[in-house]
Parts: sequence; structure tokens; C-alpha cells
Amino acid sequence: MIRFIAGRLLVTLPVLLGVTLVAFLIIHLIPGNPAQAMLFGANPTPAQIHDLEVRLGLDQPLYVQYLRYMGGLLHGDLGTSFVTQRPVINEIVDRAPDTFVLSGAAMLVAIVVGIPLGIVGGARPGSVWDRIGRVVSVSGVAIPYFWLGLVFLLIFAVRLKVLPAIGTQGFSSLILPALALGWGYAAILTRLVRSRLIEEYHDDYIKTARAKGAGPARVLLIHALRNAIIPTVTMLGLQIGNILTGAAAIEVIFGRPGLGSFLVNAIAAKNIPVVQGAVLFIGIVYLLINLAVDVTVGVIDPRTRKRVAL
Amino acid sequence: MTLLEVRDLRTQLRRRRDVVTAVDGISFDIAPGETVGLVGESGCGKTMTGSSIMRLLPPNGRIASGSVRLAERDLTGLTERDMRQVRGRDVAMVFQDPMTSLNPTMTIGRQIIEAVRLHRDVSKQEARARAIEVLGLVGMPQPEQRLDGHPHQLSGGMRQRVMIALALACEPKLLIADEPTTALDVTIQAQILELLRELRDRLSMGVLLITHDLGVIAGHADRILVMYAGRIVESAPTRDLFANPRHPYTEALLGAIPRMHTDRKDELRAIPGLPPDLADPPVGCRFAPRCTFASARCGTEDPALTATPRDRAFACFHPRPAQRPVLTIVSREAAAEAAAGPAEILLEASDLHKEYALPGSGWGRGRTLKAVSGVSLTVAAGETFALVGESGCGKSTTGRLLVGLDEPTAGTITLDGERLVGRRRVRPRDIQLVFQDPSASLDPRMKVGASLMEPLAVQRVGDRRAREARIAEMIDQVGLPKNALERYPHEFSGGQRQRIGLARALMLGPRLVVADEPVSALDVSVQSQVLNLMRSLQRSMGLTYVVISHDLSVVRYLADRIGVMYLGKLVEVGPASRVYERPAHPYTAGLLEAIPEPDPDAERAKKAAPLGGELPSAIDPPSGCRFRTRCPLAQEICAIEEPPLRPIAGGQSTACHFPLQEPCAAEAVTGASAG
Amino acid sequence: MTSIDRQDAETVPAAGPAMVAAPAARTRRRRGSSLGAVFARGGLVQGAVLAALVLFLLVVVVFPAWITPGDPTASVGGALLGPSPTHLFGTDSLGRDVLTRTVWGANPILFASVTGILISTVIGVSLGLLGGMTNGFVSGLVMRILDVMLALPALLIALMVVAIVGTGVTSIVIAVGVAYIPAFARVVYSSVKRLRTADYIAAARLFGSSRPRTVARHLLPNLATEIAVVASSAVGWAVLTATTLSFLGFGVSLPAPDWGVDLSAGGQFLETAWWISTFPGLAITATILLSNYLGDYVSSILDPRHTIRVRQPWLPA
Repeated sequence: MIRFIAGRLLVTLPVLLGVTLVAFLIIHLIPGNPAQAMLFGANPTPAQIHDLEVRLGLDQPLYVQYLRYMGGLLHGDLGTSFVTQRPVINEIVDRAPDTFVLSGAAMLVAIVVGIPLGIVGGARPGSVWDRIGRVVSVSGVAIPYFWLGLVFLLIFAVRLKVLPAIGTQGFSSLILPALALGWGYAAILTRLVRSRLIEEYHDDYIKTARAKGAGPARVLLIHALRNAIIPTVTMLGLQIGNILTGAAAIEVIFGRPGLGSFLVNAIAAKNIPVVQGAVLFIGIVYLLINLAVDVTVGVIDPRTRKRVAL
Repeated sequence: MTLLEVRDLRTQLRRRRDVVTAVDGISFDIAPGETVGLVGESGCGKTMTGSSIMRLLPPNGRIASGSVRLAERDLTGLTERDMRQVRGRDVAMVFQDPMTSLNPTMTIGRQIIEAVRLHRDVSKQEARARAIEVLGLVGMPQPEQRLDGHPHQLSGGMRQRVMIALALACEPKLLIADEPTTALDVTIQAQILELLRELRDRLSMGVLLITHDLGVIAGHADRILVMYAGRIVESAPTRDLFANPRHPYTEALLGAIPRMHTDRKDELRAIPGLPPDLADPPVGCRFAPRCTFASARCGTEDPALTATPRDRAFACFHPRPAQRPVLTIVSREAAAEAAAGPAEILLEASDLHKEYALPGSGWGRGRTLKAVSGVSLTVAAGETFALVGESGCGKSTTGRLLVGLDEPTAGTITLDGERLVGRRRVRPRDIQLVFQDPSASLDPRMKVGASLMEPLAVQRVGDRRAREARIAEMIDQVGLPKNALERYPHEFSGGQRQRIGLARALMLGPRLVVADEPVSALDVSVQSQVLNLMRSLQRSMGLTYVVISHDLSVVRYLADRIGVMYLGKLVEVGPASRVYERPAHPYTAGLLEAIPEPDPDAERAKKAAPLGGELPSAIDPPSGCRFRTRCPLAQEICAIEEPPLRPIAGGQSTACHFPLQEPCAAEAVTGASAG
Repeated sequence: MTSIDRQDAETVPAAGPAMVAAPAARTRRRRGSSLGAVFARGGLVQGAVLAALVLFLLVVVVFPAWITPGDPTASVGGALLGPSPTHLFGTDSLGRDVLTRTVWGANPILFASVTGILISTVIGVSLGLLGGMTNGFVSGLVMRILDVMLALPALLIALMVVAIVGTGVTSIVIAVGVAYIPAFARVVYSSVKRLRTADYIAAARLFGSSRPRTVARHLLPNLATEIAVVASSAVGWAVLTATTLSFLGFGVSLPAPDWGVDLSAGGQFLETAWWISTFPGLAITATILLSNYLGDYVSSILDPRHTIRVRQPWLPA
């Protein structure tokens, strides 16, 4: 098991390096002179541009810049925001918890709604619950989540006035954004769990379990579900990145000062160090979560352990 | 006393547009301690019969009528809750594929303990003790340690033992074994069948042994039921059935299997056509459209079984006469005996090695799988050379090396004295391959005509008209209609697809054809059609064959010379007739002994499973002689020194320190001499 | 991250030992291969309805004036008027007709999604082929690039692209195009790996077919189905990504009509004028639904036995 985790870590490292390289390269991929791009709107003089280049080390060869960037990273230095002149890392650390809470809540919505609907749908295809599940899965995939957020606002905050429209105060302010963000993933989960369960039911080991005399509940809960849940866990891990990023639009709508809205504002303001920092941060969080998911799957399914670390 | 009494059982499966009557009014009995064999080809309803008894039908299936009485209790009338009590406690089941029939994410122990605790009010510790007990009973080494392992850590044979342990956990009265050994190698098959017989006697269970393999059933069933198109067409004690089949289908089926002692000059009995669609079965006798003896009456009237199910019975208006030799020879082709004297050598392989690097663990310690380690062989023009062995012995890899699909790690292959290396390894006009799975070897998006055109187009053979003429000729040669060219591979049956595969391989007129398990994906009656076709094509086109097979009966029918492989090495080479009659290597002897033969007397005379143990890993093969870990004759020297391939009398060679036949010369040779 | 390995492991069929398998095709009825029969597999009525809807959408995108002749940027009267016979969808805060804006607003979104998917299909398929058909260094390099791209969520990649190239419809096209490259590349890569070892490819090698010929005659035709199935369902996801970007204000510049922009603008008038955001929202939903059904339909025609599994672990938020 320890070797398995170590092996997993080992394959994650190069990818992590790749992500830092991508974040680093953002500034250099911008057409034209990076320093000029950063000073956009300010109508900079050539002297100002040169000054900034020297300050940021943009006059050095690319690899030197990357090494310096990496050196900074190791000390927690993600650069300085052009807008607030504060270190990017501080800005991110301030805002990340709110996004984590929102994403976690959305994930919870997805799990609480999606998995039970998927289970009843997969165990009893064609039943009433299966049809409800289908409505959820179709609506969740087709309705854009930011529109759903607006509709929820209209119904529950504007018309019924039962929940607050904006702000981050207390649990009640979390309900609508979490529902709006999580609904689409609930839909994906419903579909996935349902189809996996139906597939598992066709497997031979289910016949074995029934031949032992196991009842339907036992066959479902002890045998089929355990195997069906493995790809579900993997998929959830892969979706976390999208939830984290998707939080941006929801944060904009509900006026939440999270990482997503921070990133969106930074893009609009060409605040490149912030964009770099946010991309890197989300990328790393996403990688770590998937590492955890892989290890979890390794615990549930012993077959996957062998595959990576022989 | 009867244990199980099935009467007029009819099981139907609802499909989108129609209803299939998979089991159509069958009746039979099983007594305690008795093994009843249920035999038939795929789709005949034998598996549905087993599932109907357990009432484990697919969601679209139902028992339409009839009764299943187990110890005087009608199972068809029980509530689902009561039926659950019966499953596992009174009736248990073992399935075909041990790879998929165990829960992959549950420990073996939990799976057995669950079976115990579902029916017995015992504590976890007691159930665990019982699990250890039954694992011991099925011959699992170190049962206590195994309990905490997962299925994927076990080999196929060991998993099937776990399946049996699971089935026996509550000492059922009836065991239904559905193709329990089909997915296993022949030596493992013998072990499992032996185990089943022993357990039956010890626990005096009734056993319903469902199989397509007449050889399996000959040695292990007391009575046999032959099923065709949802019906039982013949029922008889094992010996009577094999000695004197009365139903033309049974007779044809027996004639279709190549046997160890079939005269190689005889053609196999082939059954033309395919079984009927059970959604719309023909009026009258269901076998009539394929039967040589059918009369007008057979087409209108349905023959009933002649007697009660316990007795000798058959359902036919024109039964074959009693007391008659088993095999009717359809045609006796004067197969030219392999021309005496040294034939011209076509292909020579010397000291072939093939190693595969296994993906490293990230710690740098890469390991290699030695699939083939030093195989040398020669194939003479016009002969059929067969490579046999269990799965994992390297025979398929050797085949891929011979045709040039893989490059050997070391060693040389020469064709007509010309070395095949680099780009010249593939010789389209000289060497071709017939694949095992005909549905995978034909491009699914290409019409058959286009698939056959490809080789000609690639090699720029002739103009368009010449190519079309060639295709028409080949499709006719393999016995398919002209309109086949305009259809896609999925529109054909397995046997027809293999004919197409043969046609494509022969398109460029190769001299050597390597056939990798050419018939193992086919049903017996279709298998014989393809084998006959292969032989007649060999005669008419002067082909040389290298046949790769795990099925020694098939090999016996096709091969002039045989090479037996074990764990990447050739352990014995020689003329087929001599190897079969006088095997020199203990492995060959064990392998031959393990083949179930469709001959009850011969089967019963055999001693218990001739080869114990399982194939060791090719990553880390045993030192010295690789077979020593399973060899009954192994001594100290076998672990130290690797025996070379040495010639013995009659053109045979063997690699053994203690051959069963006297070696003729002391000196060792590396290559096998041409036969 | 080795999402690619994970994907492979799931799609590789369990290799079973040689056994006597039932010839599945035994009683299968012969199926005609004429065009009519091909479409009949997915249902003729369904096909006709889908074709009509797609045609309608095409007209909306290319000739919006045929349906709503008015100028989407011109004020037509009072602001914030509710739906009425003269203004079926009402008017917005500047007195512009919401129906006209909804019809004209389809163009930037659909143009960006379809073009974006085309771009990612072409590049993704090429990368997948390159990774799947080569060994050693090239394959390794391609796979590492894909690994890194897969380690970033699709929407994050899209946002990054916008940060680099700026706002506007073109940048949304590029953003969608880049964001979906890894998805296509992965599908193609694992299919190529699987198909490369297919027996019929080996057979082609044995009768001397050159590598380009084998790719063209056997590999691509068999891949084409999978690519078509994935691409047709990917359009729906691309619509979602494109509207998200324009909702966040990275799309067209005002006052041009656009579903995402209008939806976002309507958000400020939820209390007084629900219709401003609702109709663009419905339009987006309908478009995604249509593309999903289209994807299902395409897959039921091209892949009647459901051998292709479209996993969507990267469906954008």
C-alpha cells in the first residue's frame, strides 16, 4: 500500500512540474511584449516598460526566468498583484476557503442527490424514481448552471424571500449557490451510477451472489454497489477541478468573494500574476485531490493497486 | 429415490419483437449421488435449464409451465423469499468463467462466509472456520492465508476451486455445474473434474453437469441428456449413448469430434447448416432440416421421446439401428501419406527467443517475461506441423514470430534457406496467418469482398478483372455463396467468418499458413466443417500448415508432426502418430492423459488427474528443467541441469533427463530433425 | 496525473483464455446497408424531427433576419415591457426586443462552439494518432503534454486562453478549441492503442499493407465512428463553455446580441423583468438538449451495438 502511494506520488510530480510550466508560460504567450501587456491602458512610455522588464526579470533568458519563478514558488512567492500590490499568495489564501466551502457544498449536493437517484434508477430501471432521476439528469446537463443560479435567485430570494440573495453570511447563504453549482454534477452522477449499476448487474459475480441465496437488497448493497462506486469515485475526483473553476460564475452571481470571481476579475483587468497564481493553485489542488482519489480507489479495489506499482 | 424431478419444463425469454422458447418441455430426473450430463451446442437451452432450476433467469425470462421438484418440493411454486432459502442451501451452482464469477473487490473469505451465514445461524468465527474447512476440501493450499486474499491474486484453476468451495459451503443436495472447466486448461480441467467427482461421492450430492464437451461428459456423467433446440432429443446411460446413439443428431455430434484414435484418413462428420431460431422453430422435428435421414413426416410431425426420462429414450421417427459401429464415415479421402523419405524443408526456426519487458514499477527494476526461450523447429513442405501446449506456454508467440508479426529477441527464421529479418520478415506471398477469433480478424467496416480485395490490391496482383476472378474462385473454394462478398462480417456466423478468414489468408497463394487456434471459438458441429475444409484446401493447394492449438484431438486430426511446448520451450517433437502413441516426455504423457475423450470406458480407466499443480510464471521460470515442479519423475539433477532436446527412436526428440522412451543416441542436437 | 492510464485500464477488455464461445451472430438478421436502412436504425421519425430542428438552428445562425427582421441593437419602444403580442419575449432595459436579440444572439455562441469543436477535433485527433501510433520519444512527449493538459479543468484552460488572447468571439473559439483538445486526444489515443493490436490490423500487416495504407484503410474508418460520436455530443458541452465565457463578459462587445451576455445583463433585472434572462436561458438549454439528442442519434446510427463508451469526466461546469 505504501509503495502504491509512493508510486502514485512519483507519477504526479512530473505533471505538477508541467502545470508550473504552463502557469509560468502564460505571461510569455501573450502576444507582444509581456511588460507592455501588463501595463495596458496606462499608455506606458518605453522607459516605464523597460523599468518593469528589469524589475520582473523579463530581460533574462526564458530558462533563467523559469528557474527564478520556481525558486519563488518554493518560497511561496507567486508574484504581486498589479491591482492591490499585495502578494498573490495572500490574496489567494484569503479567498480560497470560501471557494472550498462552496465547492464542497456543491459536491455534497451532487452526492446526496445524484447517488441515491442513480442507485434506485440502476436497481429498478423504468420505475418512478428512475424517471425522476432522468428528469434530474437531463435538466442538470442541459440547463446552464449560471442560469439555474439566476432562476433560484428569482424564485427563492426575490419572489419567496426565503433565502438570502447575496453574501456569505451563514449557512442559508450557501444553499442556493451550492444547489446551482451542484445540480449539473448531480445529473452526471445519476447517469453514471445508474449505468454502472446496470452493467454490474450483468456481471457473473452477481449471479454467484444470487445463487448463494442473497436477497435483492444484499445483492445491491453488498455486491453491486461496491463495484459500481469505484468509477464513480474516480469521476468525482475528475470533476472537482471543474467545480472549483465553475464556482467563478456562481460567485459572480451571488456576490461571493471567492477564488473564481477573483480569477475572473483578474482576467478582465489583465492582472497576469494573479491569473498565473490562480491557475497554479487550482491545478495543484486538483492534482492533490485526484491523488487522494486514486489512493481511495486503491483501497476499495485491490486490483488497481497492482497496476501502478508492481 | 429421486432428488430432482423436472417435468415438462418450458422457459421463455421475451425479446423486443418475439418470444424465444429457450427450454421447450423437457423432463428428467437426478438421483442423489448421481451425475447427469446435459450436453448440447451453444444456444440449445442447456444453460437456461440450469438457471430455470435455480430460478435465476434473466429479467426477461420466465418459467412458462412445468414443474421442478427438489426432494418432493415444487420449486416453481415457491415464493421468491422461500426460493432464496433453497439457493445455496439445497441447490448450488458453479459457473463457467471463474475469472468473472467472483466478486473482485471482496476477499475470498468474506464471500464464503457470506454463503455460510446466509443459511446457517452461526457466528462469524464459526463461519470462518467453515470457510477454511471447505477451502481445504477443494484442495486449496494454505486455506487460512487465502481467506484474506482477493480473487485476482489466484489463477483460473484456483478461482474455480474457490467457486466450488462457495457452492459447497452449506452442503447442498444438488450441484449444478455449468461448463465448469471450459475456461480452463486441459490439465487443470482434469483436476477440477476429478475434484467434483470426489466431492459428489463424499457428500452424495446429485450433480447436473452442463457442457458442450462430450469428452468431459464421457468420463464424469452416469447418464446423459442430449439437448437440441430447446428439447431433449436423447437420454441414455453414458456407455450406451457413446456405444450406440439412436438419434441422428447424437450420432452426428459424436462423429463430428476428432478423437485421439480417429483414423486420420477419415473425414470428420460435419453437420450441415445451423440450429433453428428458437423464436420461430420449424414445424415437426427441429433437427429435420439438418438431418440426412429426414422424411416427409419429420417436416410435419413432432417426434416425442420414446420412453420415460429415466430410461433409454430418443425423439426420432427414424432412429439409427441399435448395435452398430459408432462412426459412419461420410467420405474416405485418400489422404496422401506424408511422402516417405526426407521432404524438402520449407521453414526453419532456430533458437528463437522472445522476451517482453514488463512495465517497470517506477523503481527502475524492470522485469522480463520470457515468452519463448530457445525454440528450434523445421517444417517440411506440404506437411502439417502442430504446436501444442497449455495457455501461457508460448505457442501463440512462436506463431507470431514465424509469420513476422513480432521480431524475435534472438534466433533466426529461414524460409527456403533465406533468412527472414527486418522488413523482409513479413512475406505476404509466402506466409499467412489464420487468426483464432474470426470476428476480430476481419475489419468490421469493410465488406467481405473489399477485405478479400485488400491483399491483391496491396500486392498489385493482376488487373481488376483478374482480382475479381480470384476472389470469386476463393469464396467458392471455402464454400460460401457469391453474395457473401457484398455483406459485412457481422452478418455471418462464426464458422462462416472463419471461412472468410481462410479465404483471405489464401488470397495471395501462400505456401505456409500458420493457423492459431483456428477452430477453438466454434461449436463442435461447425468446427468439423472448418477442419475438413482446412484439410481439403491443403490437398488442393499443396499448403504447408503450422497449427497452433491447445486441443490435442484437433491436432491429432490435422498434424503430421507435433511439437509440445511447455513454458517457452519445446519439450518434445516428433511424428504425430508416435508422439501420441509413445510420448517420451512426462509432460506430453500427462497432457495426453488429461484430455477427456468421448469414450466412457477409456475415461473411466484413467487414473486421477495426471498432472498436479499449475504452470509456473514465465517471468521467473524454475531452474533446470522447467517442468520439474510438476513432474512425477523429477530428481535432483532436474533442478540443476537443463535437459537438451535429444533424438530418440522413430524420429522423436525430447528434452528430458528421464525420458519415457529409450534415447537412441547420446549426443544432443539443438534442432529437431525433419520427419 | 495519469488519467490516461486510468481510462485505458477501463477500456481494455478482459483478456479471457481461449474458450468455446457462442457465435453471437448466429441468428442475427441480415441488415441492409442502404442509407435509408442506416437512418432507420436511429428511428426515421426521430431523424426527420432532428433534421428539421438542426435546419432551423442553421437558419437562425446564418440568416437571423429571415426570422426576426428587426435590428437587435435598436430600441423598439418602451424599456422593460413584459411579453405581449407585439413583443413576444418582451423588451430589455434599453427597450430592445428580446425575441430579436435571442434569435440574433445564437450566432456568436454556436459559431464559437462548432468551430471550437472542429479545431479541437482536428488537433486532438492528430495528437491522439501521434501518441498512439508512435513509440518511444514522440509518444512519450505527446502523452506528457496531454497529462498536463488533463490536469487542468477544461474551463480553467478556456479562461487561461482568454487571459492570453483577450476577449471577443475569436478568443472564445480558441478557448473552446484548446480546452477540448485533451478530451479528443485521449479518446483517440486509447482507441488507437486498442485498434493497433486488433487482429485485422495484424492481418493487413501480413499481406504487406504499408503503415499509411493501414491507417487510411482500416484505422481511420474504424476511428471515424468514435470521433463522430464524441464530437457530436461534445458540441453541447462546448455550448456550455462558450456561454459561460460570454456570461462572464469575455465574449462579444456590447451592444451586439449574445445569449450569455444577455442572460448576464438580465440578471440585474430579475425583480422587474424576468423575461430578459429567461429567454436566452431557454435558448441555451434547448440548444444543449438538441445537441445531446443529436449525439445520441448519431451514436445509435453509427454504433448500434453501443460499443463506444463516451465517458465525460471533463464535462465543463
